[in-house]
Amino acid sequence: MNTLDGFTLRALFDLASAAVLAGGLFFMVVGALGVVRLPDAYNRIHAASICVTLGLSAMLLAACFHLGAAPIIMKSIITVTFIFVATPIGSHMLAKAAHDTHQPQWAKTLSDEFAEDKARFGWADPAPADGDAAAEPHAA
Amino acid sequence: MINPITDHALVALAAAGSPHDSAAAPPPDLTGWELAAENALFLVVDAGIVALSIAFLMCLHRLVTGPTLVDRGIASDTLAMQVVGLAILLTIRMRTLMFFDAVLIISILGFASTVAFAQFIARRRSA
Repeated sequence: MNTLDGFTLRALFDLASAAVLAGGLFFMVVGALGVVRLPDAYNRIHAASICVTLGLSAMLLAACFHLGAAPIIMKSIITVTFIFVATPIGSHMLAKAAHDTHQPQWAKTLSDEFAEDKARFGWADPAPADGDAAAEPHAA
Repeated sequence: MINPITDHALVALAAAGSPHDSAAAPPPDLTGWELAAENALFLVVDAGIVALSIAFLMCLHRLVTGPTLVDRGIASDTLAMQVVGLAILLTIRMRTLMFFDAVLIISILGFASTVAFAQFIARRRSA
């Protein structure tokens, strides 16, 4: 009597699905934690985009492992492709808009090369932020 | 099986009858290893529903009390992705294809809302 009797491909796929799903959930929770805990908007963009992309890809892979049906796999491929294209674009647009409107940066930010390039090449800089209380720099 | 609440929901859904779950009907008899593996997976899924709900609440906190408009945009983007994750968990837990169409749609809506948010933030001053 072998202990591995009945360890079929289905059981293997379910275990792999559980492992991949746990990894994806870890990334999702870490991304949300970064959105809450990181000090300024640029750091939060970093945490949100990267962790959510990885977490969703892993969770879709887990769904493919568990269900294994053709529609699931096809839609997962489409969704992962879309996420890998769309999330960097959205994060880039948000970060550029934040920098153009002079959102406050963390006090310990080391370098701001985009501002240096703006000053060096004379790129069009929108009007500075008005007296919006939310846009005032805050001490971290 | 594991969670009485979701099992009640499963029974109610099975009584209602869903038209799309023909591709993923549960097999009648599971051996020991298969049952153990599926129970482990469902344990991870149930823990994941709790974890994603906590992540959802954290993003909601950032959405309400974000100091700048950009923070609210990031929080809403992440919030859409948490909803997508919950739809994936529901797909795995209920073995149905019903909720999987929502995954792609919510992803597209989240991307569109992020782009609209970025445009709004960038053009607010000059308009």
